[in-house]
Amino acid sequence: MKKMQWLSMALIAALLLSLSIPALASVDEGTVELFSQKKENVEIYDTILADFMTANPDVKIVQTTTADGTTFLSRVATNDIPDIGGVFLQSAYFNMMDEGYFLDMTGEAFLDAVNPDILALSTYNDKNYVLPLTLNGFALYINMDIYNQHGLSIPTTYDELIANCEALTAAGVTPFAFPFKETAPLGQNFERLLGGVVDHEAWKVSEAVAAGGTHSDNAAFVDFVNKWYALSRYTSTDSLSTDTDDCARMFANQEVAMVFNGTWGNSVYMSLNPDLNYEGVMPPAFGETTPFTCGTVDIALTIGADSKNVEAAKRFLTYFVSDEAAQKFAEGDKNPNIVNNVHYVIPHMSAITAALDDGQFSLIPSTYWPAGYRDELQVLLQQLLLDGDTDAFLASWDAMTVEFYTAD
Amino acid sequence: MKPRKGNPTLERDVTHALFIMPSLLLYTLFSVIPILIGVYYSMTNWNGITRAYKFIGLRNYVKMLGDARFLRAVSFNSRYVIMYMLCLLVLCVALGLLLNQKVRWRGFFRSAYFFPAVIGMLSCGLIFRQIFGYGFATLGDLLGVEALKSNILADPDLAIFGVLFVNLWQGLAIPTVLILAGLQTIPMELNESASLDGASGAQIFRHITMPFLLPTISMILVLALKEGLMIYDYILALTDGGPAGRTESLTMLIMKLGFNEQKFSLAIAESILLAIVIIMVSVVQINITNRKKVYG
Repeated sequence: MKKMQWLSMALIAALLLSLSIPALASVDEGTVELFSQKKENVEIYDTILADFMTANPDVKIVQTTTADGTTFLSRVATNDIPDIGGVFLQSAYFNMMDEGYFLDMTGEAFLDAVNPDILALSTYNDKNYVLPLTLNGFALYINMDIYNQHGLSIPTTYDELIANCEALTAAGVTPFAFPFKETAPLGQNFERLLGGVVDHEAWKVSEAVAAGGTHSDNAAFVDFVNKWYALSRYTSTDSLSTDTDDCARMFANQEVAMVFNGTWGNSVYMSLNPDLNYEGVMPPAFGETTPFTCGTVDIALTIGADSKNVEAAKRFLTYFVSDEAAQKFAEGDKNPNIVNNVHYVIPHMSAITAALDDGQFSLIPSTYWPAGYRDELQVLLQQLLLDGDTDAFLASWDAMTVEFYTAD
Repeated sequence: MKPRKGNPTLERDVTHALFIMPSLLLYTLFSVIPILIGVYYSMTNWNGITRAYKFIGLRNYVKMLGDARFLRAVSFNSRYVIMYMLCLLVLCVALGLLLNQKVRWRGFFRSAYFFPAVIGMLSCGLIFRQIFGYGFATLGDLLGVEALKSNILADPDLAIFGVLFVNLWQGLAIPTVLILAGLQTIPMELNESASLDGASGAQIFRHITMPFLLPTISMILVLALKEGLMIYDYILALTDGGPAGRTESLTMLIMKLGFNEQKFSLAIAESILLAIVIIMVSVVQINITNRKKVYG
């Protein structure tokens, strides 16, 4: 029996040792981690990182990429903040700034390399926690071959858009593809049109509703909801089973004439069908409001406040906003780049680029909506698509708004 | 012969205890302690980000029980798990009995029906999403069948059946193997005697086969209950909880509350309630089936 006892003790010791090996292996203080939440940028980041490490052989920097925010949130919850993190201007990340997870970079020289207006938009409590590098906007992508074939012109108003949809439907062409199966793109579509063509500060209406008003009091909102629902009918019958990839494929394969999407969709369509003749234009005016392209800072980099590689991270950010690196990144990312001295004409997006240059840009409402607000709104939107009851939708939206703004 | 010193029983017990110590340690570290920590956090207002939080007692549990979205998820899971358990039980027993017959190419058929088990759940869901969306639609066009042209996953009332179908398609494999193994424990002479005494196939199945299969069936039902209540991967791949939240399961709701809406403490409270429900139903189920078992 004693031999068995020694054997079992040895097993326990081996187990404890094996549990400690991952902890030992993960310590590598000299390596900087760049955490990105944009899977479409993996290759261009690899290129930039390789160039940086060639110029700075004493710094090793590796890229971690995830498709959504859950991994980043998990790491924050366990106090494992990446050295350099790609974040977004949303409530969740503002909460992280409040908690001191990110370094205050106010006054750093590399911040002077970016557009000062966008830099100002990116501040939080008058401090610069992020280095903004690119913007995204929202566009109406039009297949110009289909439009030319049917003698249609680019719509500038909602009525013109509906007239084009009717003409296309009569000709047997599906006007739109909408990613209604996925709640996130559905919510994006709704909020970016809301913030772009209805009210450039739409979050203030939500605050008013939380204080006792209703969305039905706002004629522009009511009109938008009705028009948005009517527009949603100009698509295939199974739109609730169509996702983002399906929409991209349908647009690239010329199965539909138009899609609404963020400017990030541009690189997707170009890679799916390089010969596709299309243009990304401004969303049409739904009412009195001048249409803006509604978006947010697409790439905003932070430095972890407790990072052991702060100086190396700052060196990388300084390199990233240099003329050569920023230009290369702009050409790979294909989103509007806000680094000064970057001259990149985005194919198919001249109208959006011009609008951004003219200041026709508004922040998405979810920048200032409470965390999870748009997620809950997305479920209500799917219900609206199912039953078409805009009154019920507006009432549910009111109730949801009160719950979110008054939660403890 | 001199008697051995010490207490051999005690020594044996100590050795047994030391051997189970690694597993017990792992289970305590990775299950028990996190559960206890989770119970504590479920009684706070921690959102997953803030370093400071307040103790709020049972407020999350009270809020949860009055939340329409939570109740809708409970309704979905309840309907789903009942349908899943019933269909799985009937189909795996039927399939097991069929595959136990002495027919040509029995080995091939057994392999073919086990094949779905080797595909990952998410991969299976993504494949069937394309089948439901495009495969059946193309088939409907070719055959002129209108019902096939529309995607079942886009219908709020039928999407649950799409998810159920995929889950059963993959979930049948292992229970069928277990039933097959259980059928091998039935003494042949019992069946032969019953047959000689004039018992019909149905009577043999009811009075001989089923009692011997009950331990296996009990295990299958417990696993099916857990799988049905914790369904996530198939829904993520097929419907993302839609249309309009009609297929949003409790697990999916917990994930969204925690990671999308930063309501971690509420999400933990819901997961604890889910765990309690699974435990309670499993205990009742095992007790019921235990009374009717026959051990070979």
